[in-house]
Amino acid sequence: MHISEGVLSPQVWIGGYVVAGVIVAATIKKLKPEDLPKISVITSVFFVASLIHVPLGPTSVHLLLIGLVGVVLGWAAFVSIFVGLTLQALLFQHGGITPLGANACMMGIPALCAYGIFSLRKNFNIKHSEAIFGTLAGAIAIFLAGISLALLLAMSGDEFLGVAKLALLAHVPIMIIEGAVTGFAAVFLQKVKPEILEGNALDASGY
Amino acid sequence: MHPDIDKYAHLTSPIHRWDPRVKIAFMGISIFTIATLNQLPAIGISFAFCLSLVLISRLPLSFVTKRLLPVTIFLLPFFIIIPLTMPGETTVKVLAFSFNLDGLTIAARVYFKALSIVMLIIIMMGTAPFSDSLKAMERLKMPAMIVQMILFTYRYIFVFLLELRRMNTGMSSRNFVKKTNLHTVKTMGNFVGVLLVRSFEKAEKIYQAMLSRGYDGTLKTFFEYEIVARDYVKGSLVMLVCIILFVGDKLL
Repeated sequence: MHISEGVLSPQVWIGGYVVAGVIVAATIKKLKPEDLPKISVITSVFFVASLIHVPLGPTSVHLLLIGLVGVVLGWAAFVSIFVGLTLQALLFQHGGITPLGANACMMGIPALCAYGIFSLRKNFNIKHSEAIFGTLAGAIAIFLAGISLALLLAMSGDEFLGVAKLALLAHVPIMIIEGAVTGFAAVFLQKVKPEILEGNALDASGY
Repeated sequence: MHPDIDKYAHLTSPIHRWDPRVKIAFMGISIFTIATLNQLPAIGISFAFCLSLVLISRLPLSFVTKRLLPVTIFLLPFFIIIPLTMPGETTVKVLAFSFNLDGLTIAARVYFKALSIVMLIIIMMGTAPFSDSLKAMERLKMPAMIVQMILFTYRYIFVFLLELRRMNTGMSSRNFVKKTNLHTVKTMGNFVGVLLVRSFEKAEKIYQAMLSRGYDGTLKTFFEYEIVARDYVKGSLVMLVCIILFVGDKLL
């Protein structure tokens, strides 16, 4: 899901670049050289995972996994999405260079929110907390991304209001599927390799 | 889904010979200039300009049109949705729908602007090997950490694509068929989880191998770029077109 070239008005894409630039700069400050390969690995897994299609009635949707990026990478999620989108714009002509900042905000900020939601689970001493909070993180991330998409389009001009409404509607089924996939993946990771959740792998010193 | 971006990187053309740093800088300026255009005539001229650059670059047209497909798929619905949903005077009634003709102009503006920009991206990335372009971006003061993450991600994508294919074969040989149900979603969740764990473990090994070969977090290259006067001449020509387009667009 990305906004293509030519749609956003200059105010919106410049604003997108400013916000994205601030978040990327803040993240880079915290990064150590040994984090780069780890973030890249996870970025490319998500890149590849977005090729997985899940059938939905007569059609199928591909996974976005914005929420799972947040669940796995924690505070570094934004920069991962930024890098992924840059590659998609440069190599595959999905999205674009001018809307890159706006697209990164549209998907990256929800990913950070997903991280926040998922880390709330420690405050609740309940069974299946990974499943519940993972599902919430996955679904809410898509919800926020859908709203941001609609807002960015609407801000670019009244003529895009109709497109914005349709785009928002299209996100409802995706929300449900993403929530479920993220929930199951979070449970799996908690069981198999809990140390790669919530960006913990980045804080670990060396291997 | 191999990007094949390097497929025609070794042709010879004035654009292939252009120093990657100068090329990327001026292509970038053109991209952002075109993105600010509003008037259909200016957008038309920019489209012609980008098309002529494609011809100069000698990139095969089939290669370019294939890459214009995603943006076309994304934007073609605009030609129907915008006229249908935009309020305005110049409407034509077709059956029960009111069709606003101004919406068509808006959709055309968006579409041709997008096509022009995407053509520039294809020329920018398609006329040099991807690694050379990245090196040039680092020289242009793109943060080194971002450049390296792009490079690593690019390398790993192909490794994990193979992994994905292997796992898909494994699932279908166990008679797994995707359907709209909870079982499918659960399987996909676990599938992504396995992919993450396997890739992460593989990455740890790769990182150790890199460390043992002297990786210290910086990008090292064996050659340096050299800019000649001709590179700047090409840059000035592109810059001139950008200024004319920008000023013309605002004056119209």
